[in-house]
Amino acid sequence: MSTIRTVAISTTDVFRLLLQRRGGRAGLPGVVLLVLIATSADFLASDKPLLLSLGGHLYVLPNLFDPVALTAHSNQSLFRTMAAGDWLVAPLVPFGMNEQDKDELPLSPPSTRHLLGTDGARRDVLARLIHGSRISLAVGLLSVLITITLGTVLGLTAGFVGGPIDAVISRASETMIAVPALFLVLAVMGVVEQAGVGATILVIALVSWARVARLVRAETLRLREMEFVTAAVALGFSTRRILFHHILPNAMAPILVSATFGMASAILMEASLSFLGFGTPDSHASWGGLLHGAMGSFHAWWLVIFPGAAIFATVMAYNLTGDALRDILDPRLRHE
Amino acid sequence: MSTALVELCDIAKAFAPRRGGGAPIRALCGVSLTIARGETLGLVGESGCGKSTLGRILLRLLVPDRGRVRFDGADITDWSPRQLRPLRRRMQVVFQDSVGALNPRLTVRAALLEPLTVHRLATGDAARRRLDELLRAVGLSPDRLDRYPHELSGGERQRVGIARALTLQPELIVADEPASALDVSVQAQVLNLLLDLAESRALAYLFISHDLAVVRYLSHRVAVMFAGRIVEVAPTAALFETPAHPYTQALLAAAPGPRAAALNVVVGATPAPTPGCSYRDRCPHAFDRCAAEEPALTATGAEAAVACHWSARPTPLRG
Repeated sequence: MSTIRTVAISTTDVFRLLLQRRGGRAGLPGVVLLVLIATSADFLASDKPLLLSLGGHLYVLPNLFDPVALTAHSNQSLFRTMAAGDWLVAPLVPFGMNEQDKDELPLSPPSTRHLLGTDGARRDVLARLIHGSRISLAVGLLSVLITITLGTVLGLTAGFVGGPIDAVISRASETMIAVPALFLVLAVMGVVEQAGVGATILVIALVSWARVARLVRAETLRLREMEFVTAAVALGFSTRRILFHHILPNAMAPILVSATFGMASAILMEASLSFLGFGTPDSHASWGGLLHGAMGSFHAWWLVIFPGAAIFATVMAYNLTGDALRDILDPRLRHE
Repeated sequence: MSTALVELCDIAKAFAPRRGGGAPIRALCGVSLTIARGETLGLVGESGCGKSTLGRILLRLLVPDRGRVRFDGADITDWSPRQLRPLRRRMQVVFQDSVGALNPRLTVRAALLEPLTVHRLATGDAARRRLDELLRAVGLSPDRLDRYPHELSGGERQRVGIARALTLQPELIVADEPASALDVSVQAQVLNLLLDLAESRALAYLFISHDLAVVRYLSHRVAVMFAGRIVEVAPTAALFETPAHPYTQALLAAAPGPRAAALNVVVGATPAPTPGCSYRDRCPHAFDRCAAEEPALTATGAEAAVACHWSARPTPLRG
């Protein structure tokens, strides 16, 4: 009998099984926490209050809408100038990610005012850390999305069509894999004139598609020989239907696992780039950018430890989740 | 009977060897056969003799290297996949491995609805009625509709495979060892189902099997294959009573009981096709002509033919 490799498994089952595993129990909450922090960054750290009553006028969530009347104000200026009867609800970290605290020295160590200290431009490290998670998440998600799309389309084509097209795609992906990704990224980023977040995302996707393409190609080769695919041809289904209805859904499990690991490596790559000064511009807070700020001022340990820990924890969370996911979705490894 | 439903003419097919180098593997060399409307043609032979390849060429899932494939009078040998698509409704396939034959991510309902939708045969209520009718035809209970293949038994899965083949109301089904992977009791049920369907729907079958008893039970005619060639064709009764080819005789002698002596006759690797008769190394009757000249499939009766120098002789020599 043939081995039963592909088994349908529901999404709820995946989450249940994930939480039964040590890796999943540690990794999944980490991933969820990062997403929560990134989505609510404007509520956690902002230079504007969450709720403000100023001169009898009530402002709701000025941190989000940034009304013109308050352009000149920040939490700090309001604290100083508020008259009797005025009140505000400040966010947990009452500093914006680009706000320069004039009352504080540059590179001041953690204190009650700035819990994780300030950077060389008197900006609050915790606020930048919180907003930096957005860059990490956005770069990770978008570059993985592009990577997966590119890799899946190329892998499916190579595996299903075969022949010279397969040879071209396979050689190209092998070449990509042979070159260390970071050097490739640095080379490309060096050529790109204005390196922004978008360029970072594209470049990371460009150097990562090859692994996914190889994986999907192998899955396609395996599935193409399965009799349900032969049956689909015999039933007169179009090639597109066979590829996207019969082959792709059965190849989703390894793609998903690879996407999870891809998140971790994309986040790490973005941090490395920003650390080296090629990635996210300074106007956007990013973890790698914070580390970059520590270069030349090594006594500012808070600029090294905290962003470093954030990167470590995030990459760890994704890798643990990816490991657990692979165990669940790959029956060959399930009974170890 | 007017034109045959299917006509295969001098089909040859070779496959490239797995890893570079080496001679191509010749799966079929010059196979011809016909299947009439409503006829069940049994195709027997040992593993690796090219039975399944022949079935796939007949369905035009593979392109033959040589020879012609005709379906209902039309030469479909060189048709593109797109040209073949409308014809797919008329010929279907049932596989041996019911696990691999069904997409693990589709419920029974989805698997049976898909062909109807793709070929725009039925939607909504009409499709629902069609599913009910199909389930009844293959003897599946309606509560199986929302199950996934791994939630079904082997026999149930095979019934789903048969039902899926029937969705398009084909005229021909290539059944590639449809019962070999099932328990004996379930095997009988599935075979009877195929027999019933043949009668009630005027289906023609190419019934591929290595099980002689099964072939005898189902077929009108039987073709015996050896090493990529058809060595004998005859109506079922005639083939089982008076087998003409030494290989057929050996198969029949080995079939009834586990007698080691008889089995020895058939044991041996399937040889690569060579000039001369490919069965001569195993044949108890082989003589010099068998090594020199490949025997052609020669008619010996109205519907019977055999490819053997020895049995074609007026008075067969024992040797």
